[in-house]
Amino acid sequence: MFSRRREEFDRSALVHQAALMRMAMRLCGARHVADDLVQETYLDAWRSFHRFEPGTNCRAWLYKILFFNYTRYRRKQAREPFLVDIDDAAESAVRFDPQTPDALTAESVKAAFEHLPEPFHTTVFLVDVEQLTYREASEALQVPIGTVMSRLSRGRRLLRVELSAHAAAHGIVTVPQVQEKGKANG
Amino acid sequence: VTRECQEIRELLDSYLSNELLVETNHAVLRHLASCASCSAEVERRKLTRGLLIQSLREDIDVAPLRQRIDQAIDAERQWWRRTAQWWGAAAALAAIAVFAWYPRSVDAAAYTDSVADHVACGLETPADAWYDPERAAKSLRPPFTPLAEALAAVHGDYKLIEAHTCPYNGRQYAHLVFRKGENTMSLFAEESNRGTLPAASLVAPPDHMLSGLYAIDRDGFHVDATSTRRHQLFVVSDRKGAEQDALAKQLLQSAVTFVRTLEK
Repeated sequence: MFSRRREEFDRSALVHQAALMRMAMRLCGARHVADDLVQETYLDAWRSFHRFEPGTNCRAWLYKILFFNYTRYRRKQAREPFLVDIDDAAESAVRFDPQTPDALTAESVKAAFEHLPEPFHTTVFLVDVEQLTYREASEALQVPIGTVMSRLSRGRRLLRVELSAHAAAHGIVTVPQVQEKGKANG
Repeated sequence: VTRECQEIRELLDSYLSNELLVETNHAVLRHLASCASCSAEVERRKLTRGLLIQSLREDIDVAPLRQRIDQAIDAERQWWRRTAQWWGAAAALAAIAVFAWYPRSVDAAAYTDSVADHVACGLETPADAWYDPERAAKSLRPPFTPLAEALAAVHGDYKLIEAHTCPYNGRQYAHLVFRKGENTMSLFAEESNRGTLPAASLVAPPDHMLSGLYAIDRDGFHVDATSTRRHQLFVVSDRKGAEQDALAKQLLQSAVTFVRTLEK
């Protein structure tokens, strides 16, 4: 009985350990805190594994527990909630949608991504990096699908803003600028 | 960048994620086929996503953490197992305690009633009475009817002279009367629906046949008694002592053997 449950847990849940660790590292910053968070997440998942329906999405379920534990951890640490609802704020700042700069590198994309504020950072990470579907991300973050889509759209736009700023700061010209320079020289 | 380009670029992220409706998707594809600028933008966005995955989806060595998780789950399992064992043991002890201390009812009049019926019925049996199997088969109601045949053999010098169902004080005794000269001895068997036997002297410890043989003197008569799961049985006599107890034990063993067949 126990060994069958354990095998099922290994097969369904523990295979997502690396993905959970990546998310935990992004949330916590420090490896040892991320380790504790993921361990606590798996222990909670094990305790309530009887409630998990085989065939449903285990990864989204694990993310949900991870975010819940992280919120609890943050509240305990800073006495403040993890997710500040900025879905309705700073809309004007996100409206500007620049062209994606040329000469992109992994470092520049990573640096730009690190500047994304929450909750866009987490949503973009789940969907564009960890390849969760909208529904899975919605389940993991416990928000409606529409909110996931909205955060994603604005997060990606913000990423382009950051990439443009990064390119400008490093003197990398974008395509339109090249075209404009060509026109000026012609 | 035209106004149409701006509208298409609004859709490019969804286009890359394959999230557009078929018609919208066709519109984007048509535009991309004719717009080099937007095509280049799509490629850059594709590249951005690729680089995002490349830079953020790093390989993490999860082996040490896996070990910690396994240990934590095993510890959890051990804790539950120990807790379950403790609770199981506690529940078993509680059940034993409840069973041991549960105030079971006692049939306080068991000895007195058997003696009284012996006086009222057994001693009143005529001196010339004799055991008639046919009469006994009619007088001794089921399920005790075969009891007379089972105990019809001579016990000591006592002979069975009468067997019938004897209602007394709300009880339904199977009453067998034995006689030897002037001495009369009664065997009573009844269902023990009033409680357990009252305290009496233990004259023979429990063995494979009897759950102990108890004796008590009541109103000038000597009573030997025993009980089974659902019956209690008495031998009432005007004689007492070890010889009487041995005879009563022999009679009761035969009677117990019979009533146990009723309890199966």
